[in-house]
Amino acid sequence: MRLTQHQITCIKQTARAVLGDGARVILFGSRVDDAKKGGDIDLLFETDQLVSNRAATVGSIYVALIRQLGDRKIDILLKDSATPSAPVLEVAQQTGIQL
Amino acid sequence: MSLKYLPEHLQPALLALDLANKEAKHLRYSQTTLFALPIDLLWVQRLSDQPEMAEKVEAFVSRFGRLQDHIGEKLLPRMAALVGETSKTLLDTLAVAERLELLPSADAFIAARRLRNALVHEYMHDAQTFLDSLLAAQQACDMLFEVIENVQAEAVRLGLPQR
Repeated sequence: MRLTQHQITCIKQTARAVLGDGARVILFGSRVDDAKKGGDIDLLFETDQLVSNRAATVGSIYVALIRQLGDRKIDILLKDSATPSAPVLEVAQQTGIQL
Repeated sequence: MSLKYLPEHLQPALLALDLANKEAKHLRYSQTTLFALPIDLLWVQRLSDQPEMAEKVEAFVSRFGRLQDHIGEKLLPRMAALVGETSKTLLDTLAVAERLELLPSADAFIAARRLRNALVHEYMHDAQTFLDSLLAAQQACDMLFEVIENVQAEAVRLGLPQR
């Protein structure tokens, strides 16, 4: 996994701050692979709660991460209790690493 | 009377403002025509089967993204340079623009940057989030137009030659 300890801490703190204590974060995509270089940071945020406005919530997570990690390419998926299953979510869950 | 700006930065700033106005005009057209439609969850769910509508959305998203890039990468840094403020990164630029009262909220600008991604991919798998994002982008357009108006007002205040 190619994230620094500082980045991991920031991401987990952001998940808790925006989604609450039960939130989980999975890193997926190219950053999982130690042999690759660079690339977007692809993150799946999961909560068992219902999020009332998912777009606004993803926006808040994104702003918090950019503020802490600097302006970089971060792609965020959010899965709450109402999110329908989708291939991209399954791939993220199967191939990703929980932070 | 002494100048209130650095003349060597005048031309790039005026060019950026001119282009921003042109891009804003096209975005406003897409915004007005798209959101005149009865956009709701069902409309989004049917988007995959309505290529003309999907194309309209794409035009809106592409113009929205282009104007946003232009404001963040050209217009605001050049306006900052014009008044002697240097900014190396986008976050610097947004902080300066907020201080100069050109930008209402740096956070709102950052949040709007990720809408483009959401609007390109999400109607394929998550109609509700796509709908939320589309409505957020509608509001974000007004924020972009406000930035341009603020820059225009600042240009008058600084006594820049009007084109």
